[in-house]
Amino acid sequence: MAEPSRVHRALDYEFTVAVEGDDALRAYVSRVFAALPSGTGEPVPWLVREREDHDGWELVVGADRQASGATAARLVPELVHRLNAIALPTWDGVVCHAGGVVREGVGIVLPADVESGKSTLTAGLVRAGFGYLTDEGVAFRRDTALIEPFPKPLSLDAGSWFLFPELEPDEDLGSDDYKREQWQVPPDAIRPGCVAGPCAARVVVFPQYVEDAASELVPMRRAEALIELAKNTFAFNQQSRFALEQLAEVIRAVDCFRLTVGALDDAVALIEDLVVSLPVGAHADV
Amino acid sequence: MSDRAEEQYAPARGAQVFTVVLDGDAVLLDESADRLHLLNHTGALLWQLYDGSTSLGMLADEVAAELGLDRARVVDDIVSITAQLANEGLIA
Repeated sequence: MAEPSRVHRALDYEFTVAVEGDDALRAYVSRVFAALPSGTGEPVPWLVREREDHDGWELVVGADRQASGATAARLVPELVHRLNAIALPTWDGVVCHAGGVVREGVGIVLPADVESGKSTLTAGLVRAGFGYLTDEGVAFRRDTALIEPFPKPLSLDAGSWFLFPELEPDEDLGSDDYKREQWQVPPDAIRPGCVAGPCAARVVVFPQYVEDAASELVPMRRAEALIELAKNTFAFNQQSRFALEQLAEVIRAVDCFRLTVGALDDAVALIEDLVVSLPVGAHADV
Repeated sequence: MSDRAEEQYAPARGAQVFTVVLDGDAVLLDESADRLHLLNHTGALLWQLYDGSTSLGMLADEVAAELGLDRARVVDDIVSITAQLANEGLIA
């Protein structure tokens, strides 16, 4: 029987991961999820094991097979994707499809669709010194609207690898399947100690990558931003009035912008300048 | 419908519409259709004045007097905006 990991907590979801018969993969998975805080409740057991018919490997969550692959390494991205799909709906509050970073108490929410460069921008900001909250789901606490960190590994697609060559995973897992389509990057690999604690949102920036464009930050009206944020909220229609009220509470306290992302470094510099330019009261110790 | 008839119309906000006002703009959540709508300052002001008893003519009188605008033009604008909101199913 494989030894389970410590109890990880992902928002309101707690789980352990065990890997049968592959110590290298077990160690790598442990590093991938190292930034998640420890849980104290009844965790759901996750197990990576060889299929009974010996035709590949499978990921079993509780009693359910969630994914399968030809190699155990192939299941690494599945671990992260399944965690997003399972953990985010468990949060007792609003969760937006967004990256999240913080600097000097200024929480920055980066809502965007897939393929908009959200994780790339988040990684760039963390590399530049911002604290890491998440690259996938910004969760607002129901009572205070503070952002609850969800420090999953950053999922970097192939299109951004050239920007972060130093982050390429280099593991001896018998196969490159674990990084063939997407890199799962532990936040500490970008900058040790970068994971931040809960904070208030002070800025909402809607990024959109546009090839060869000049990076540009343009203010938005709050009402327009509220609608965009609602469109990027998980399961908005299942709790629409509550969600809109909570998002409005967030939006009232923030400045809102659209960010055209051309060169990553230019976009990062724009956000750095934005944080510096905010009124003193916008910066809070957390 | 003639202009005179339109002026007598007293719209009310839909019961299934939840409103958030931000910096004078408004976001409307139509819970019956799960749709969001954005209103600019003018639309938001008008929306908040819809009470089911104040007619468009009365609203036009107030707006024209308050802002010193030509009443006929104000009526045109108010009728147009109201028609758009009605077409979206937002008005009772």
